[in-house]
Amino acid sequence: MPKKGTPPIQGEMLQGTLDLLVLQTLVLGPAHGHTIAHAIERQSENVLQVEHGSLYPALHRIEDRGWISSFWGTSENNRRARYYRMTPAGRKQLAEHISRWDLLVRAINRILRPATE
Amino acid sequence: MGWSRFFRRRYWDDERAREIQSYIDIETDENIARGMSPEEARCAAHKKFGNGTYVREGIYRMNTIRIVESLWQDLRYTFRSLRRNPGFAVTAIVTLAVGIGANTAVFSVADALIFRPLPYRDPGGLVTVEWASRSSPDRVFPMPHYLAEEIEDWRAQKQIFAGVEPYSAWHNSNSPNGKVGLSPTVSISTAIPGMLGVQPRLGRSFLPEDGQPGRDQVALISDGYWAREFGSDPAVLGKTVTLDNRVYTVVGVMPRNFEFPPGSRPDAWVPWTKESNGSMFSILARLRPGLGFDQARHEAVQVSDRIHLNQELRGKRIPALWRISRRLDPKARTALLVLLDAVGFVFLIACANVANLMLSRGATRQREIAIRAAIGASQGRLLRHFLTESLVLSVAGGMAALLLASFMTRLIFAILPMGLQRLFMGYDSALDARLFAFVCMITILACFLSGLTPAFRAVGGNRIPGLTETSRLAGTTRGIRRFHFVFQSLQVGLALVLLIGAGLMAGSFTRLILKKSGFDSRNLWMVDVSVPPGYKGPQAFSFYNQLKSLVKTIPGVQSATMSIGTPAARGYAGDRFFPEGVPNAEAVLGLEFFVAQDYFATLGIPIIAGRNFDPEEGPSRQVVIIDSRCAATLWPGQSAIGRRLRSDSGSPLLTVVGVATPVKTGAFAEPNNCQLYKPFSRSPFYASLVIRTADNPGPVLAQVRATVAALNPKAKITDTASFDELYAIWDRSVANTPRFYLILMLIFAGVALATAAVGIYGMLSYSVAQRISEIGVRMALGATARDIRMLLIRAVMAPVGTGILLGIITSLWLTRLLRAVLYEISPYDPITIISVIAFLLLVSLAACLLPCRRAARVDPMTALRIE
Repeated sequence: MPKKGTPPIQGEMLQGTLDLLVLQTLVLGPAHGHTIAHAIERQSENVLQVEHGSLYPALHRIEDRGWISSFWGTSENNRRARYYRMTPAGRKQLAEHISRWDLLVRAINRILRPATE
Repeated sequence: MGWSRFFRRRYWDDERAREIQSYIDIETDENIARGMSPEEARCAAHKKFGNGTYVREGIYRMNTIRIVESLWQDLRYTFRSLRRNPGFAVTAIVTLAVGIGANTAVFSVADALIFRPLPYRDPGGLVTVEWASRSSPDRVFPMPHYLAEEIEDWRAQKQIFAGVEPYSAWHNSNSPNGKVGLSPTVSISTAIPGMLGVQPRLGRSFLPEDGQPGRDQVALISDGYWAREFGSDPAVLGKTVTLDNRVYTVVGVMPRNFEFPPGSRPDAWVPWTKESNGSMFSILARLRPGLGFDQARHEAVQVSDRIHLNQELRGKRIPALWRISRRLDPKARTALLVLLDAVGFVFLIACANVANLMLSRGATRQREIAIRAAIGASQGRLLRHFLTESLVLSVAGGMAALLLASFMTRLIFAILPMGLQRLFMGYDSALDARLFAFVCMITILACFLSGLTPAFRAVGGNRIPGLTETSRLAGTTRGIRRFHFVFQSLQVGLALVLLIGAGLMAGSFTRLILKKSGFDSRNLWMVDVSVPPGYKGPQAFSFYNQLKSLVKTIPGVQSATMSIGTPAARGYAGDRFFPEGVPNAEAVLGLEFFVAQDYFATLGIPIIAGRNFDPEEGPSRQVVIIDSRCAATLWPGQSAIGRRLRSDSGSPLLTVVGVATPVKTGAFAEPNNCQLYKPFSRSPFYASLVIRTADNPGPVLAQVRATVAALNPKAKITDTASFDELYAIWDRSVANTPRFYLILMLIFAGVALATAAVGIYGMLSYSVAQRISEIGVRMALGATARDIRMLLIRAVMAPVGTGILLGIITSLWLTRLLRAVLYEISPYDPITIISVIAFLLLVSLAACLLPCRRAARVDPMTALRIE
């Protein structure tokens, strides 16, 4: 849980970041939008609180690029839902995204904490 | 974003809507499971999701190609609004179609005749070599060469030329295959096709041995002749054609676009030989690679002493090189360019008209624009909408113009003077890439010229009145009226320029047609005879004298004379002359005729002052007879007899001994020309026998031929014709050209005037409709119908007056260009200008008639009740 007083990060996230999170969520297997949204929120320990709606344009965009594909299925509680699955291209993208992210984090950390690194 | 997404936007929107719904449903279920009431649960789910519509719009936009989308919207909107206002749409499209179509048609002609590069390899390195008068190296007429030795002399100048080849286009009235009709043929040196870098499309080109006497009866025929006479049969090779009573074997067919000499498309080309063509020829040369034209021109003058030249001409002539890059002589070129300008004016008038229409339309749409702006349309978006509208109109106009242009091109072709017609025929008049590019360009130009001002005008400015204004009392805003004024004056001004041009051409044409020949041309025949090869000086002179006396004895012949140069052909362009002792006098160009003493009696040209030559007078006596028009130009109000002419080539002064009536010559419209008669040459190499016969003379010409053959079988008759025939040809060829320009100018001026009149009518009608309340108020306050009429006419006459002023200034400046195509009329002819202005005013007033009547009928009560 976040410390009290630390406001959750809200609003528009970096586009690439959201893509990364969506792809990472789908590593475990196909999921629908609702699951993905809740998974991101939960796994970030509620730091990344976004309006769940803003996830959908990202899904649309990623699907358009061919990194994920979608199909209609039935949810755990018997609702029709659109499921997303990672494609091989998506898997490659994820690996690339992660290494880029690591690079970025390392670089920023080096600047913020030169002494400890 | 891919195109497939773009076209499946609606599908994806539905998909995403269902998906969002599914999220809400699942979240609601979970919320209920957490213990919320269904109502609460749904609210919380929506809150968690955020704005669903916003998300959908975002995705929809992602799928959209913005530009295409808004363009498509604008197009649909434009079509809707134009359909609601068909009168406006049709007027604008027709106006633009006429403007664009006329331009396309004239451009296609001008392109074929002027702009297209000559179909030769490296045409920039090709020149013709000619002799020009030392005083006026800018030739008026090309002067043929006579001495075949000259060719070798020029070939020896290797520092200037890489190749020098003769050709001869002078004897061109043959009748191949025994058919009647003019079928031009050109004799060319066998090396010329190679020099031009042109290969026949069928068969072979000339070989060097084709130029040997005895082996020279082979011909290359034109593509047009091949199609006409042989039905484009590939088996034509080896068949024969008869030209000038000689049989030639066809060895090749030239490409469709081949023209030689530049600017003419003869039916056939045959080898040039010294024996058959050596008496008169032209020279085509290719400059040594790397030598610039100006340098070559300069060097040719330097070496002129090394070139054989006729004794009489030595010292008076200098070599002149001419680029062959131009098809048409300067005059025909100028005339076509004038037409191109004229039709450009028609285009501008059309654009101004459409711009005016759009301005009015924009003004009546203030409300619509204000509302669109109020609900969020940006200025750029509105501007784009207006430009889309004018683009739609221009493109529609452009497409209609293509149809119109093909019709107009046919019309132009039908009235094109014969030489130009033959030349134009070689080009496909059908739409080609060049022409299509031109149409596209001019269509876009039309879009911007006619649409830009109205668009900015309609979009810019204060939009509040558009929403609040409920009264029509305000009428048109001042700004719009100012623009109307500008466009209106522009239209009238341009129309006036065209009208003045057409008026001048009409005047010129009338003078030309009514021109008397100056002598009795009935029963008069011309027989061109060249001397037997090798005859020179006195020998040639006595040959002609003998021939003349023999011909006089033929029964039916009343009289006979000799001359070099006859009126129906043109005289030889000589030097420029000045009156002796008159300072700052303007030079006249001498058209020289070398005539025997009995010339004036035989042709019936009266000598109105002074005397004829005496029989013993040769050219060495330096006497001259000039025409009376020239005498009046040189010595106005005084007798010319005994006065002397100074030539600026430095030849001896010429004393005027007689003044004759002017005759109608081929050189009809050159300014300041002077018919100069000099005594018949003592060493002629070529002359015309002029014979007057009784009525129904019988086979005189056959007897003349026999006489020539009997006197010397080697003498050659190169041409025979009656003067009536010659003048008929003259009318066809010489008068046809001004007739062609006149007809087109009249059409353009007519279109321009009609467009301007329609413009005035439209503007005034619109203004009456706008000011109906104002008129009502004025009438209620006591204005009479006459006052109202005057009010409106004043409103029209302000721009018309400005336009006329502009037009006069422009045409005074522009009609200088017309000087080259005008005959005996000044480009500043006041009578023409004044009557054209009067006509224009009359038409403008007529255009006011209907709107004025409508305004005068306004009932003040009704007009005010509209409020």
